[in-house]
Amino acid sequence: MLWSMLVSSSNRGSDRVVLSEEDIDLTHGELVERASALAFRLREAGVGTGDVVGLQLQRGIRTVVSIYGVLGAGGTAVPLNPGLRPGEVDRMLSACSPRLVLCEKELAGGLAAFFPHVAPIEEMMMEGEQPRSIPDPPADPDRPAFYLFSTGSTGRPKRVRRTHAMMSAEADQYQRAVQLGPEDIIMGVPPIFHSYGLCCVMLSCIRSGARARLFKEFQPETVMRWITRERASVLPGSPFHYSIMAGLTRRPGVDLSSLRWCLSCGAAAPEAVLTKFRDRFGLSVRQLYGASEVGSATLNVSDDPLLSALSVGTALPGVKVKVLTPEGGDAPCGQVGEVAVRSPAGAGRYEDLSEQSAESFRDGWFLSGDLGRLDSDGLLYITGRVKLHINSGGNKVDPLEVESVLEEHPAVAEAAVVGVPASHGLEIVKAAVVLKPGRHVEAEDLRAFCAERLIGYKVPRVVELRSELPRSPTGKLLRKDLLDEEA
Amino acid sequence: MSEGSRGDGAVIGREIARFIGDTFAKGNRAGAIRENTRLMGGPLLDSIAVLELMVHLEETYGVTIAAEEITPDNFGTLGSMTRFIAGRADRK
Repeated sequence: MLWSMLVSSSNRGSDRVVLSEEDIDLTHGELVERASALAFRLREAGVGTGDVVGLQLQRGIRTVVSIYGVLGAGGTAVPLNPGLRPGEVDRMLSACSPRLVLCEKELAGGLAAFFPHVAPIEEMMMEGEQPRSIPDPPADPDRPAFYLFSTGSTGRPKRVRRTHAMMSAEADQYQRAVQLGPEDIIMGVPPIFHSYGLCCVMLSCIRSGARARLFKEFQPETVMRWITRERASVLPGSPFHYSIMAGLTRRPGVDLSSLRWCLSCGAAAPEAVLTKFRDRFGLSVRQLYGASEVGSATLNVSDDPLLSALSVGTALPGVKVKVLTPEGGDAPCGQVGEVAVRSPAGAGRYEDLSEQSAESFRDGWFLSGDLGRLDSDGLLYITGRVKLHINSGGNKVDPLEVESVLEEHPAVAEAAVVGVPASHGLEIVKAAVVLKPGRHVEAEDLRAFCAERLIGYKVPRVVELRSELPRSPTGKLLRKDLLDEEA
Repeated sequence: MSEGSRGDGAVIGREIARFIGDTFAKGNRAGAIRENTRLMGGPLLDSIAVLELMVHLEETYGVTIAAEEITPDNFGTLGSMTRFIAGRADRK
């Protein structure tokens, strides 16, 4: 279904550029050709209908080609952050037994320790290779197109099955709200391995005929130069991205006035960030709200973006949003409670996690773990969260995962990890660590220990060595006390 | 603007070390950030931290750091970073 969306989009204009990266342009026709060639190679490598393929690739055009190559072969793609350490990839992928992991050459050695079939992308994707034909994978809309991962609060990432029908519905909902067309140019700031980039960059440009410019990394000046040069119209980003762009000294010649959508997702945008960006560039940032489980759910399309800047807006077409009371009923207007989302794009469970599924999915609704309230105009405001996770610039961190890594260190008796608010709308990871009696280790050694096992944004920036952790009389860890110390 | 904006390398170096220590390496040994401590590309600064540092340096010293100047040559150690910023601040 997603494959046929690509092919039919290409049939409408195969010479139109769909993806750009630095000075490379790729047309719809070329994307279909490259993805088809890869699909046949994957087939030769044993990837059959329904097989799972992990993709740990640098950001850029190759990631998109690889995703469509997997879909063209009839497989299920699992796009992964290229910065993840092999052990982290194992914690995510092992439960879905990937038929193959396609990766950057330098990652292959580390991954081979965990997975029997690992292939560097260079061996599978040949420059200029022509496909024998265009593949025709089964069109069953209920087959999984992607497995995405949601950060848990249990030390283990939760696998979310997103079918072709769900992803197609999300792309449709988003496009109807944003009204994308072939004249649009999207700045691909969110990575494609993230559900935000998957829909709002990749699928939305394939579906609408728009063009997306992809970036290897977020470099604010480079992004602003390309917006200026190409008169880009859509900038999906996070509060961190907008804060950084607004914080730099003025660059001569930078003109962002072509942007008709400055979207922010991944974390609640602090008012100071929105104001600073608006004062600097004269543009209102509009908040989008979503999750890997349900995709994009709400968007602020308000006529008065100033008045409602802190709102994540109203439900996208076809999506329903409500706020729950602690008893599980519908909260009245203005009352804060857990936000629940019902969407045709949404998954109904976590794979292999019945307990967590029962907690988070109820009667077709996804209980987000975020706290919010609805106003009388139906605008949703996110006010906090129920779940434990830390939001590091849109990257979610499970404190229990970091704690368990710290506790693997031979000198550590116990650790507690919390998120501490920092500048640019970030939360940083803070660890309080108690050492075993008679043992000694420096804070930076513990950070280095974590950096070998965890991607950079999960590594605690602050490590405090303590004689004990705050606990209740019954022995329960009091994370809130650790947070209050920072307030 | 800080006193470091006068382009005095030693003052700038101390201020940058203090900022990095307070922001990215709290809990580490006092004074652990030295002239040759590996910064960009090292364990102390991930890509998010590099961007935060860029904004701090631009705001504090009133300099503009072009995207192509954010390289390990210029920002790989406290020493190279200090020389780069001091050179820029001098030109202002």
